[in-house]
Amino acid sequence: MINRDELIDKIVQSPETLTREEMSAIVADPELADIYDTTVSLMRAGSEVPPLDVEDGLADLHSRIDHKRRFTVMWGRVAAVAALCITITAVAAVWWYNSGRQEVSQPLPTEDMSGGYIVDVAEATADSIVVAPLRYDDEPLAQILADVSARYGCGVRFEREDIGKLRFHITLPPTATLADVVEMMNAFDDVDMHLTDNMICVR
Amino acid sequence: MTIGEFDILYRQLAPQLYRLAYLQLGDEEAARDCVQTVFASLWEQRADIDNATAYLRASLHNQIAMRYRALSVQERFARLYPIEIEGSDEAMPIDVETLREYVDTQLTEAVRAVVECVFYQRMSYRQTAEALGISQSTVNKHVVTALHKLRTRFAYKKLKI
Repeated sequence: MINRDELIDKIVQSPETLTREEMSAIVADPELADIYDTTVSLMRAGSEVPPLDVEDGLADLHSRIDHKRRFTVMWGRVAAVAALCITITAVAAVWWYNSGRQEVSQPLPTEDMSGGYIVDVAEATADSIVVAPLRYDDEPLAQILADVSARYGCGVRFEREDIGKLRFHITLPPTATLADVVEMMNAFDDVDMHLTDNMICVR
Repeated sequence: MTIGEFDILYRQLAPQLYRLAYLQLGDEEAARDCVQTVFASLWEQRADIDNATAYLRASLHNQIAMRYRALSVQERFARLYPIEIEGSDEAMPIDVETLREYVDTQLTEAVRAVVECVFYQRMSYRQTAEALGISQSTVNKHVVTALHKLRTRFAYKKLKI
């Protein structure tokens, strides 16, 4: 059993030696807690304050402020560089994409002075630009030459409209030039085509 | 506020704020850290602050209260900190500067002498009695008188732990 008067004496004279049990008794008793608080506050009020080196503190504070500013500037620069990289990548991607499309949509002659009819390149399938062999199994010549027109950016003119309906089996390798294609097509008995001024004429 | 004005303010107020923090915390390092933190905060928010002195005092008060709150009851005992603390912003258990001023001006000379020996210089009752040329029971009587006056003057808060 803790003696209250002895506990008060201990609080005043040697609070640093209080046991855990005595601490619990103090916490549980508002008056003892009050005496304890007054005592330690008095002890604190009478303590000697060590000197503060103001210039040292100021230098430390400047260093802290500068460090934070440098940190902010550094991350600002990193963010700016990252944004620039993303922008450049996006611009390059758009440019690359558009340069491919430009090749596909290169305009063709729209007027045929000799009375033949011209394949509308815009109707060619978009897939025809993919650099891969063009394979045809029993496809009409008009479709084949529409794809050739799209790939090589040339025009096509049929001397007879019905000739476009002839059907062929052929594979055109991606490495073939337009002249090669014309030559391969001429291997068939039913067609006679020649290349003049980037225009394929079919008879 | 320019950096020059900031430096002048630091030189003027830092020692005073440091003393206040030290008396409350009893820890040189913690007191210095509190002062540096409030001044760094002032610099960051200088554009929004009208009264820098008031801001510094309020911030320091909050810094000290925050450190108090972070401690368990056992830690407060171990560091000889007050154990009562309010939950509000007025969380400091007692303003030790005011307490010291009260001791210096409101207690009788005999009681003040005992307070200085027992509480400020941490002398035992016997040593105090010898130093002041009075009996130990008189020392005890003055201690009781001092504590009674101070507890009445600085009416403590309800216990919240």
